[in-house]
Amino acid sequence: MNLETVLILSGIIFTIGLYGSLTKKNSIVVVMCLELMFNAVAIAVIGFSRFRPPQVLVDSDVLSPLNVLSGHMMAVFVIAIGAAEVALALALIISIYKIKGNIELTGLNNLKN
Amino acid sequence: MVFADLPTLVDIVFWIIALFTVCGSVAIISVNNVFKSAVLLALTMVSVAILYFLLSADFIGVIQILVYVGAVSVLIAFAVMLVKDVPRSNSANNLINLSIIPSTIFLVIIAFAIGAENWITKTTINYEEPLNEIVVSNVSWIGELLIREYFISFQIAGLILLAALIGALALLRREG
Amino acid sequence: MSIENIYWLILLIPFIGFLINGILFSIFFKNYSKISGFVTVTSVFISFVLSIFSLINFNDKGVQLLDSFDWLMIGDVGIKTGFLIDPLTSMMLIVVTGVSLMIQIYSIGYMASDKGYSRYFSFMALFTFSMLGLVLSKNLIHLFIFWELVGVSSYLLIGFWFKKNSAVVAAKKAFLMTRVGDFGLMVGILFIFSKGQQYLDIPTLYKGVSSGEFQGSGLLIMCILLFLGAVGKSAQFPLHSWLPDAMEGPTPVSALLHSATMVTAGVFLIGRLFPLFESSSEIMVIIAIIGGFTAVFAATMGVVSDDIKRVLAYSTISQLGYMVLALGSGFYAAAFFHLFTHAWFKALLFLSAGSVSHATGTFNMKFMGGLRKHMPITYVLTLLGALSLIGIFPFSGFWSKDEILGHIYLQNSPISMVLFILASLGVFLTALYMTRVIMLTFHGSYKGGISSENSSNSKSEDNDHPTEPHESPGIMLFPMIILGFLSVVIGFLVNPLIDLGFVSKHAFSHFLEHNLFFDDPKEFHFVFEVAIISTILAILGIVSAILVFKGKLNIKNNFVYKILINKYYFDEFYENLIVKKFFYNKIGSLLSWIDENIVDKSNAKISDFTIYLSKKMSNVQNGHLQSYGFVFFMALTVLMIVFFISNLNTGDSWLDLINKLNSEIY
Repeated sequence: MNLETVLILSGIIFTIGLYGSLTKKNSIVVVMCLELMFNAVAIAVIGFSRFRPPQVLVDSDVLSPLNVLSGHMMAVFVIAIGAAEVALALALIISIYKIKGNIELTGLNNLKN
Repeated sequence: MVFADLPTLVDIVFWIIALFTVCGSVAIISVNNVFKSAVLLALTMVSVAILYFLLSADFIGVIQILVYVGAVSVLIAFAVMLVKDVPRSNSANNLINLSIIPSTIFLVIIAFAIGAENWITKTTINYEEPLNEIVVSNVSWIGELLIREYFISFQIAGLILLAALIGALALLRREG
Repeated sequence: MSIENIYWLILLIPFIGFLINGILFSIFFKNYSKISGFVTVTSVFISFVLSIFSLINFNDKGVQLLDSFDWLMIGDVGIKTGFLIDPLTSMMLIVVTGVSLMIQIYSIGYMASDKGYSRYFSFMALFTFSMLGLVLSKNLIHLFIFWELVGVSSYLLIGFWFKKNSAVVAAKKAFLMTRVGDFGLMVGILFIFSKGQQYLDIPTLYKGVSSGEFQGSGLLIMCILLFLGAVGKSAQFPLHSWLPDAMEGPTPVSALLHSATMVTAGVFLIGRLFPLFESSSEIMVIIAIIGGFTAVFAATMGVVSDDIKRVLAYSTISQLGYMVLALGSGFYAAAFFHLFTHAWFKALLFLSAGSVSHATGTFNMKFMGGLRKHMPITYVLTLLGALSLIGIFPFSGFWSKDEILGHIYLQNSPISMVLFILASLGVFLTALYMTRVIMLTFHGSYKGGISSENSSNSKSEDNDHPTEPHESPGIMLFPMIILGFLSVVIGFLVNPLIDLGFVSKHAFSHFLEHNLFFDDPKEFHFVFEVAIISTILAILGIVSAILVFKGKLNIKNNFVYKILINKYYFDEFYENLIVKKFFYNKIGSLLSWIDENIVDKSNAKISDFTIYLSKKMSNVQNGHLQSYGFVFFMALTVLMIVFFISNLNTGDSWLDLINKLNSEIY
């Protein structure tokens, strides 16, 4: 377990999420894929936090929680935003369902032309 | 000394969990049933949480399980009720083949970029020992950071959650 | 008030009159349109008074170059607005405003019952404004702009009664034929521009000519092009046929057009660019020959025409021919002296013709006659104008015409002898046609005017009885009397033979030569033998005209008469050969083929292609969010590839690159 493997794992999950969000018809699956992408980013941030302290630590020997745990803080906010996003996205999906009768993204082309 | 090159227990667990996460992610987008996807998402989230534990981020792991497995997955499973033909609901649009090309290129370039970087030599200090002091009790440190250095961000995150809450309510409010 | 402001006022006050009439009284206060006549008269009157002021001021200060401000500056290239005040300008200011003032006072009476009263006066003010701008311009571009404005306003005025088809045709003809000349003028100005943009400034042009900048092969072509502009505007030989047709406008318009504004613009242009023309001896000969030829050529057509205004139009062309002849022979002062006197008596003659037609309702002299008894004042005034035009001692035309003739006579070269014979022939013909006009209009017995013309033309039922012609109202007679007085005395007063005390000998000629390009004062002569020859010729013309009128000589129905009555078939030549055969059939069909087959088809092809392409392109905007996302992602990967490949050789890692980017940005 080192930084490269963690980052590559993060990249793989991100790519899978991206691919899924581009190709899936079902909007719920697209939301799931977005969550995967969020998590990929969080994994990368935590990995940096664990293996690679910020440049400040390299220059000075001061170890403070601010420096070491900044990645964790990032992850906290990522999760918070992800939760908010899921709540909104599901509300939107339900609205779409009310209007269109289904939740397929392929029917949502009212902006056409 | 003989066992120096052997993987440690943490490494073994990491590889298994990583494999499990990737397989779970792939399964989410490849199974036909949206409900199964939702369950797989929950499992993948649990495995990501285990990854956080392995990366000495206990608090984040707990949060991950609470938020994603406890809340998000339940919400998504609830939304699955809107889907009509659940067993064949996870179909793809016509970009399915075309999207493989940029995805592959993206992944390859990221892998190259990560591999080309010499991560270790950038830092000269031995950070294993002092790191532990903070990492072991990171919950209290995180709490202190949240209400000190990250106070503004913390409040803004709360505001965003509030906005999401109100937004969701406004969207679903009955007309009239 | 500085002197520059006086010139601004002279120029702009008629324009303000135009705006007031054109906007206030033509659009908003139609019920008060009678005021508009007084607006124009007042504005022109103010300009006239200021012009006299400026003339007095000119006597104190001499030639002035007034630069006001830069206009249209692009880098170093630009136009300086300003006024060039030399004797020519001062004289033209007096002529333009004075004649215009008289004619507009007359118009108040003449146009009183017309529906387009305020429109008429706004156009008249615009016309005066344009001509004033033309004579004041210091810059060739300005001169050209006002030159075109003169053309436009004459178009508007000739086509003033635009419901009459012939008026529309005449206006179009005037506009298009002068356009041929204007094109030449424009190319000529561009030619001058190509020698250096500073030469657009007329004083600089004078300096450039005198320092020999304009010698060489291009000079003749440049001069011919510039002269073409003058030919078009002043209705000289090949482009003369618009002017008789321009009689379709109201008579005061013809008067203004023929005396002071439109047609003198061409002569003025030659005078303005005189040093340039003078530097090429070939162009001077061409100018002189065209002028002399036109003088005779137009006069012959005037002899047979039955329309009183057409006769006057041909006489204008003929007199302009004299001016051009004088300029071509190098007699700058004589030419403008003739222009000066001609303006007054030609305005008088046109106003008289208008007065006659006011009484009879027609311009056709066949249906006039005997008006001497009914309108004695008009008769006397017309007689004064005619004698002046014929050149009988001591009327003004005598002095100016004899100055031209005398100088040509003294030149003593083969060409000048030919020109002298032409000019003398012109004198004879002038006497002939003017006497004919007088006889047909005022002598004999009255033939019924408009009503008999209508009955002879259309045999219509409503034969309103021939009314007794009556004298014109006072507001029309007043300017005519002033002009009649001037046409008698002004020739001798401003340019006397002997020192009169308050006016010195040859004052006008000496005054005109006080400009930027004449260094040494010239000698001016009055040649007695020439005066005697021309007087004899004139009397001969008068006598033969009377003989023809009394029936002693029969000139009708022979070959020459037929050619003349058809105006040398010039209209037919232009109409049939050039316009119909050449433009309509050849060029027109070629253009229509190009239009149908190339322009239209390529348009159709382009539009088809555009529609096809837009259908394809509209797929890009298909409204699917995921397609947009896919394009975005694709572009991102392309950018990443470019970034990756372009940094492959440097050996830097990505973090280094990102740091580098950051340091560049911040």
